[in-house]
Amino acid sequence: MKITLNVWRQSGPDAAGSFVKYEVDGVNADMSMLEMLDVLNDRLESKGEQPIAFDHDCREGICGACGFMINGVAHGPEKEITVCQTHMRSFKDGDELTLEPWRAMAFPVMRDLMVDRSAFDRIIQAGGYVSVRTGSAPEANATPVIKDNADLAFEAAACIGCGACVAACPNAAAMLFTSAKVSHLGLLPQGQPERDKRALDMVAQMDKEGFGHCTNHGECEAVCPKGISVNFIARMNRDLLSATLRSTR
Amino acid sequence: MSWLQSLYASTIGKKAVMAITGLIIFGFTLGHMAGNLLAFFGEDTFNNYAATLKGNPPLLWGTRLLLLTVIPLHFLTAFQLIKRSNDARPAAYSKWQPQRSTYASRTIRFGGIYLLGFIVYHLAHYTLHLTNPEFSGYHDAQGRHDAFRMVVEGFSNPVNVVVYLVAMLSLVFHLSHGAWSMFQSMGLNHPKYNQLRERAAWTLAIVLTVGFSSVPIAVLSGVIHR
Repeated sequence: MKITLNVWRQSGPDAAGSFVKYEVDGVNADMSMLEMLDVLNDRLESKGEQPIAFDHDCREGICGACGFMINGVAHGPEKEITVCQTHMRSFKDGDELTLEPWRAMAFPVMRDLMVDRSAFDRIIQAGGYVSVRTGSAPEANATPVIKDNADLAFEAAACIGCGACVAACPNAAAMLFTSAKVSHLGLLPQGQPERDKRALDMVAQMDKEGFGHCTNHGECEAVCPKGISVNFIARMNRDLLSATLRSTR
Repeated sequence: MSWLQSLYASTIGKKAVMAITGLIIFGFTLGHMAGNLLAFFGEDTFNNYAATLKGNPPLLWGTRLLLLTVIPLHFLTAFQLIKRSNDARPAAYSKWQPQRSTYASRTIRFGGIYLLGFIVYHLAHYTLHLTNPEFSGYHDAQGRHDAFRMVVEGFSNPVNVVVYLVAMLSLVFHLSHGAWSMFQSMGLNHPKYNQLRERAAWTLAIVLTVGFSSVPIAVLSGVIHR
């Protein structure tokens, strides 16, 4: 296969970027998107050019490190998958692909296709924890958990924090990410002591980072590699509104 | 009251304001449309309805004050949110393909801006009579303000009809997204009722638009006449 790439090249956080066109010959349909970039990078390096920088880690679709826009869609055309699990068989010989980094004020471009997602870490730090009794391990079945809630909490906990929701949202909102984190603890009995505080603090941090608001387009859910539902956003709205009314703050 | 300020400062609080103000405006437009449909029952019924509203100052001014608070708040909050959204993505994508969003969801702000201009024109037209000062002097045989004549003359002008119909078209899209979106913003979400929410929003949006549009169309086509 021959693929033409338009890749966003930016040498550093403060540098101006632009698209650069690359013709990649001999692409194997079974290569992943990232393996195809590895091949291109080898060729660039052998010519003495700077390789294209992109984030990646597990390359198994479970760590959340990778991610960029392929032809205007976060993580590319396949559903519930990350770019590392997007294979070149999803494209045709002669296709032209535009690769662009996540774009959001809160996700500054570090280099090429890499963005700084530490805003997500700060949202987690603001409230993504539970109080636990230290000391001897508690009896495993001491705390009953409603099955439906356990399932929902697990769905929310599937969030890998890749940032595709922010990238796809027309308002660059981090609502899906934050709501998954608020919900996966808030749905469980262990998460109840900090439930109100968690919603208030995580939303405050999310706003402080400069993410946008939710206009219920559903773009985030459509690109989420873990298929996390926008229902969690409504749950977070409910938690935030009731926490505001109920808390002593 | 600092909790209220910090709620309003948050993106979720602002969306709650959009939802609550939107719901009030929505409720008013339903009543307004029902009243408008009385034009099909002729001059006497319509003028009697108009006189009844005018003859009940607590209802009239209560509604006016509520709307004068809620409508500017809806728009002010919307503009603040649009600014926030623009700030959140300073550099646009060179390419972006919508996956799930709808025409209605993507155009809700533009429909809203048209409706803002429309509301100003509508008030200048039929409430304040700034565009047509002669409307104030219309009285029927019983000495009531002849609202019926005002409506018939107003909609005999095709330009007005077009302005109103475009507004109603904006309304159907605005509400088809807004009327279920407000449940989501208030956290009122349940898998059992989510589909109902969206269907109800579309149904009510269409009922409102058809109801509102029927009067100008009926006047222009001669179904409603003096």
